[in-house]
Amino acid sequence: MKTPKFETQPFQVTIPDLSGEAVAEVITIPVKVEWDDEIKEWLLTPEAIRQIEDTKARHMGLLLPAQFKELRERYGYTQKQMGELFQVGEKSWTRWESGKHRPSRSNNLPIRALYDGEISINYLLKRAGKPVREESKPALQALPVISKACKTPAPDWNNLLVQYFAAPEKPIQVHLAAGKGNSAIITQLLKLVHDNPGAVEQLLTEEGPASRQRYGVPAPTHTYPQPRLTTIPTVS
Amino acid sequence: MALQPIPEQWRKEVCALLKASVDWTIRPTKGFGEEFQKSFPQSFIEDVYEAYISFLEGGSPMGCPVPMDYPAGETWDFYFTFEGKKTYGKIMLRNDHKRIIPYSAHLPKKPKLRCE
Repeated sequence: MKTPKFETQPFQVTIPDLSGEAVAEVITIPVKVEWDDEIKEWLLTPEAIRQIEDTKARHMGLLLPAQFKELRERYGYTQKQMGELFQVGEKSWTRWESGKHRPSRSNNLPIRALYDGEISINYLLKRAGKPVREESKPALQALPVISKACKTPAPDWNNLLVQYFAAPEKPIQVHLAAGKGNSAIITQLLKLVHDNPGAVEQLLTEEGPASRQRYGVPAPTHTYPQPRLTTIPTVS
Repeated sequence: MALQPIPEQWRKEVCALLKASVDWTIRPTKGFGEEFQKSFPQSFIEDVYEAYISFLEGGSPMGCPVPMDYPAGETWDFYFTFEGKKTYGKIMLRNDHKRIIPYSAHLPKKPKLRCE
């Protein structure tokens, strides 16, 4: 049996303009292809196809499969519930999450808006005629925001605090995208940081300390070292 | 020559493999990907597989058997509709009947198939 022959070759991915009819941009990416000696052709590997499709989706502003899953898990919903929420059906959601299919730009729009925090889950629930969720545990609600910014899973927030306990002279850096529009979460986070200064070195990447003023949270008054945290504080 | 009905057994097997959508059963050529991108910048490769199925499962699909330089299976080409446009398609069902090679899904470059 012959050993498969793989190569990395350039591949041009076309990005459509907003009309969808014309090419807005061509991006060349390296993809893995396999030589098929029987038919004398280079074949796209499954990995190459995913790369091509993900590149296109990303440039079109579509959520990627992992982001669909992340969004669903943020609210603890099933695929069926997400399908109902966006009125697209369970099958569509499942396909988007698995990467078997991509959403249209029109379907993607409200989903992206929820993902980015531009609209609330309760707004969608109301529109779908479903009971709204209780607005509680703001600190926990903020975890995806933090974990996204830190590029670590949400549970690692605990680990970040543990790291701080181990070396309080090295404050944790949390990058908050203050311009994303979720003022409630940002307000609670700022309050959390204010109430526990030193645990987190806060970096508001888009608006800086101006956000603190905007959301009416005074600047921390304590200086390092600060009393250590024993649990994730719940902010009321 | 004229267009021929695409054999039912070939269609059944190809559709079953397209529906199974297992990574290693559908292996498009690099050329397929490049031409598809040029013709349909707004579309994704996965979407065209459904259009293949719709055509092949529709009533009496017609096409041409394609003699290949390296015959490792049975190949047919045909015109089908994708994104509302007449599209040229070409698929090989390999001799093991477990894999297909999509060769083409792009806007037509010729007015007719070779057997028309």
